[in-house]
Amino acid sequence: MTPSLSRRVLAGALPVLLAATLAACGTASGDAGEGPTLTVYTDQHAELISKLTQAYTDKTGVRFDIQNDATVGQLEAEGSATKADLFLSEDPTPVAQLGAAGLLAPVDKATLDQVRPGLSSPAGRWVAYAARARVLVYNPDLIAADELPKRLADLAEPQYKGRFAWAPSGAFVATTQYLIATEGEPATRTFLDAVKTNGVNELKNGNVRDTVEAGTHAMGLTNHYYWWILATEKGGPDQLASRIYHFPEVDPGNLVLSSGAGVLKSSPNSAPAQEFLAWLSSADGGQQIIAKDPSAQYPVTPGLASAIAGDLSDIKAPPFDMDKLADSAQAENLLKTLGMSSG
Amino acid sequence: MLQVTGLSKSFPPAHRGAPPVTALDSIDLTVPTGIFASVLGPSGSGKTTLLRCIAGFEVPDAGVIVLGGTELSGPGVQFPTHRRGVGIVPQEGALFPHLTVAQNVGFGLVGTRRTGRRERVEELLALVGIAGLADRRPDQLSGGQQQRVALARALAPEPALVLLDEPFSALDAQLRADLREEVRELLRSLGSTAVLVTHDQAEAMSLADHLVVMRAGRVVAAGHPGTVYEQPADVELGRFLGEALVLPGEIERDGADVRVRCALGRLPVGHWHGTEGRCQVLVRPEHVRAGPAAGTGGVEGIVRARSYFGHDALLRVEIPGLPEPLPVRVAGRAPYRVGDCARLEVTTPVATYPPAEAKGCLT
Amino acid sequence: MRRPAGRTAIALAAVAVAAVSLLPVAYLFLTGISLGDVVAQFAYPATADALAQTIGLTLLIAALSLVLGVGAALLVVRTSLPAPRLFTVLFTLPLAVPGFVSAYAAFSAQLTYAPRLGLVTSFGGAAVVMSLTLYPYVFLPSVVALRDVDPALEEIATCLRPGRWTPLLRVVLPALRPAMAAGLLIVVLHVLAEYGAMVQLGRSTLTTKIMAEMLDYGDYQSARSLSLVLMVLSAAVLLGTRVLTGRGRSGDVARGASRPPRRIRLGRLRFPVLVIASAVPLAAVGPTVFMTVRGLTGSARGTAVDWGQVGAALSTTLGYAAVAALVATTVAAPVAWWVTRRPSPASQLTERAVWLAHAIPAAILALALVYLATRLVPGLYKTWVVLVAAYVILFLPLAVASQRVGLDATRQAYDDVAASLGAPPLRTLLRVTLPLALPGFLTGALLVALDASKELTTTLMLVPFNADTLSTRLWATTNGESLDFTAAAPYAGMLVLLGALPVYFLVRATLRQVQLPHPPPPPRVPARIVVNSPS
Repeated sequence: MTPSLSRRVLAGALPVLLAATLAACGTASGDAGEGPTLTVYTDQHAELISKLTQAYTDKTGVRFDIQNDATVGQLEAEGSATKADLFLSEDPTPVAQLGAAGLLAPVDKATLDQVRPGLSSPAGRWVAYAARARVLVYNPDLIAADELPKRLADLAEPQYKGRFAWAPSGAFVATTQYLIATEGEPATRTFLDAVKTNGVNELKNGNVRDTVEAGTHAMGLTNHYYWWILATEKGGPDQLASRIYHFPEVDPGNLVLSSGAGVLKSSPNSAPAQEFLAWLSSADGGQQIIAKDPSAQYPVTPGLASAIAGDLSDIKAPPFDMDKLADSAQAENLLKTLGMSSG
Repeated sequence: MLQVTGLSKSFPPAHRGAPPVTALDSIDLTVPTGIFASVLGPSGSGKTTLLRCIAGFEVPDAGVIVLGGTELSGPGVQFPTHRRGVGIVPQEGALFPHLTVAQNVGFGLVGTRRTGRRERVEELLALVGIAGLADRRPDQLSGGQQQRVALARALAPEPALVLLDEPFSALDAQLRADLREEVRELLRSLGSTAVLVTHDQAEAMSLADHLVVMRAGRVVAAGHPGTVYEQPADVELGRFLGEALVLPGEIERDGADVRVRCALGRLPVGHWHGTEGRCQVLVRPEHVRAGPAAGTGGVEGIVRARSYFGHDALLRVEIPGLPEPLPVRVAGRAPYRVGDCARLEVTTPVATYPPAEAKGCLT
Repeated sequence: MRRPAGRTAIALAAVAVAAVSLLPVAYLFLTGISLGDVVAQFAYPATADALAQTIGLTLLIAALSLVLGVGAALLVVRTSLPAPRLFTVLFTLPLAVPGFVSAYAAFSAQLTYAPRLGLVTSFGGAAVVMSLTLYPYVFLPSVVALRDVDPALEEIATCLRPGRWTPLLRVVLPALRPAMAAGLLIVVLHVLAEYGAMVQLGRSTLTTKIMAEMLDYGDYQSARSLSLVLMVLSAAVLLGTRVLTGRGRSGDVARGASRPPRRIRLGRLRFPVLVIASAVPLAAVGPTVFMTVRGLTGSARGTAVDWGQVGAALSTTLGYAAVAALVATTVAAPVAWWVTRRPSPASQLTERAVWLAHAIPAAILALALVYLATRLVPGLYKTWVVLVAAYVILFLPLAVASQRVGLDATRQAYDDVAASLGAPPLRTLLRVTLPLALPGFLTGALLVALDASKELTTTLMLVPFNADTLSTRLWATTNGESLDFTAAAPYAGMLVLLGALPVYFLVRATLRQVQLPHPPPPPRVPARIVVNSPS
């Protein structure tokens, strides 16, 4: 090494470092603008939340600070210091937990009334703003449509052994909780045992879709939008090797889960936050954006369908009190005992 | 003048529970200005710690170090190294690997103007005999050249004292001999005060105006090298300073005439330990003259081994009544072979010491 | 008595740095875990399985990384492989790709070309994919160490014990031990804390279990209990490698004149070796580059790339990474200096403590920092300060490890000589110690910058509102689960390009380090001088 060399490296690196440092510090939050700034904690698809909040800012001037990939754990760790005004979850579980912990302020009745019944918190703690359905995707090269199971429970049958993939995602945990609530733990355990024996754990919903599409498995349990996102990317449903399937009758396999939005009790901005919720779940507000979004989630106001995935009312979903998802201990214990956790 | 008084230093034990290691135990040392002193000692004797205390790398537990009238180290006083004005030539040079020869030598010349500095560096390099290597890097130099640079670097700020820490130990024999000769002449001509630390007794004695011998953290001898060598304070020191045979004897005194009777005959005593009766006798190889077996006087023995050095040779001669063969130095061309008989005569007065009780030196 | 006072200050600073980096560990206990909670986790058989799988994967990946890293280093330094500099860059390149990206690229490449193979999601396949991303951590220090082995030792070994492999087995590999241990430590701790790649590769480890507890069940108590198990495992690794590296350095013996190391002529093997050497970096970064290029140029691309957004994310990433590198370099220095210059149980324990945070899953570390920041410095929470602090805590060990290598190139004797020539401590630091240790410091800073720019989990939680880094943007295009190389391609591409820059500088710093003249051996002072504590 020569001193001149190291000096040259330093001389080159220092301006870059300085410029970068300034850039980093310049992007700090808290742009001073007119109107309040709402802090949104969310684990929804970041692109969708960005579109929704941008549209609302354009309309009202209200600005947003967004915490993506937020968790209940982060809110708990922050404690009373949290800056969060709203929580926009992807699955219902986080808002159900926040509601059960008494951290959410009640949602305005008018807001709740805009949404299809059965999708929001029965106690009015949070409002649904999007929905996803559990589905079966299948690969017609490997299984004929008339061979498909008629009910989720049919997957326990021996003829499906080794032919389907599943993933122990949050939605799978919710299905387990639903089954425990409706059919009791022993029946649920028997069913899960069969799933474990007959199916292949692909760990993630995206992997389930990809492996069925690639022909690794004949069928797979996943969420509807995984398949529709891939279909959109490839240029339409007919470009895919795999197909999407909803069970023909009301069935746990057609479980619909809401993305929920709630206002935190601790929020000093509850009035503008409630106004945002009202817009988010209104047919001419946020729902229009969700209906067109490439993430293919269902809008939740009556009469509005997803431009990609179609109408939620075509799915024969069982009724479900999603606030029950707040306490997952029973399902957790069952899945862990059976060794069916992700991870 | 360097004056060290009552210097002590101990280190924490290497293992928990072990006693602390005493490196220096109340050392006294005086080196007058312009004098070249050698501190000789086996490894672990504390000589390097002494040097590091003088340089200020270690903080002594007790004692005073005074250089040129300034107290460098003492109770409540501790000059940092960079304000002591002490130059050091470490083992293997420790040249700064990222600097050129000129930059190494010029390192200590702060405050000098740039042009003046360059001149001074050239001058120093010429002085140590490596003019022209100014722009080399340390890894392009031979071991001897590296040591010359290290010396020039130490001399550059004109230190009041130069410390040399076994600076020649990594060099080969011929180079070592030449270089140390040169270094002594150079330091002498500059009138520098220097302290050399070494475990090599030849090096210590050939260079020193003043020889200090250390053992186990203490000074066991100090003085003119010739005196220390010829009249060592004890048998162990005598053996340490050079090849020697120690044999039992008995003092026979007649007034001022002191002689010792031993397996080599009745010998005149040059250095007497002061008591009569049984004693130990120290004989050096160069004190013994070997002659043909047919001669008279002295004692007869059989050559058991011969080491040839060119200019001379060392015989080991077995003599009846001696516990081990006697080393004898003879001319290299002397025609002894193993198995030959030789007649040995001690030609120089010997030194005697009290009998070693523990060793049971009785025959 | 300035020197001892200075030393004490440095030691205190080092202890303070270690204490701060242990704060996240304290969080685990602050929130209250009992031994019972930990034991309860083992009531589920899957926990023991995950533990076994974690240990198995760690061992296998460590072994593979060792073979790849040392093998590549031998090829570059000790054989007549053509274009060794180019290959040094190529072998280092996998560092530029985040683990979860290369895992997904490997996974989707398999789905595209061999859907029924199930290779990369098998135990062995996952280990190979992980090893291909991690071996550069062994490769880089091995290159430095290999150049340092005295060729004379090898010649002597050949004379004493004839045999083609004698020099390699008896001299070279033992001399590489400290380098291998340092690299392996980083590899092992990465494996223990890896989430994204492991889940993509279908592996169930302690860390994926911890994440499942948090993400699927919202069970943070169980997550923390499992983290404690992970921490014990990491602590065992840390103490284990300490035993491995605890001995003296290889440079402690006098050596002859410095000569370039002997290169083995490959001869007829040249071509096959060239193919194998090219295959390793190709397998490591090939899928990612291929999927990225396909994503950028593919006909399926629906929307145009918002290059303004990409640019903003790029400059933010660069800024955070640069500040993190600067701060980490600064605070690592006292730790590295203390443990290198005053090795003692206290300094070594302090250095080990810094590593512990490196082995915590990033999500737990992030939660800990949320918890601590909102209580200790609420004003700084959700500003770049806390995010940079997280990066520093996470990647501090990389800086410390590299700086130790750099400081090993300097010696106490240089400082002593400089002082004897009248240089005050500051001048000694600036003129002697820093110039010599600079390559090590630079390497450490680059490694920190590289890892910080790839970091995802902690960044998601702590990044200032509305700010994006390349990896959070990359994640945002994934629709929550799977990377979509169409939307993600610009970000993945930028991340790889950004990573390639430090890789280039890293290689330069490494090569420069090995061109240093061999440091002469340290003075033969009694060992006690080294262990002497400040009195």
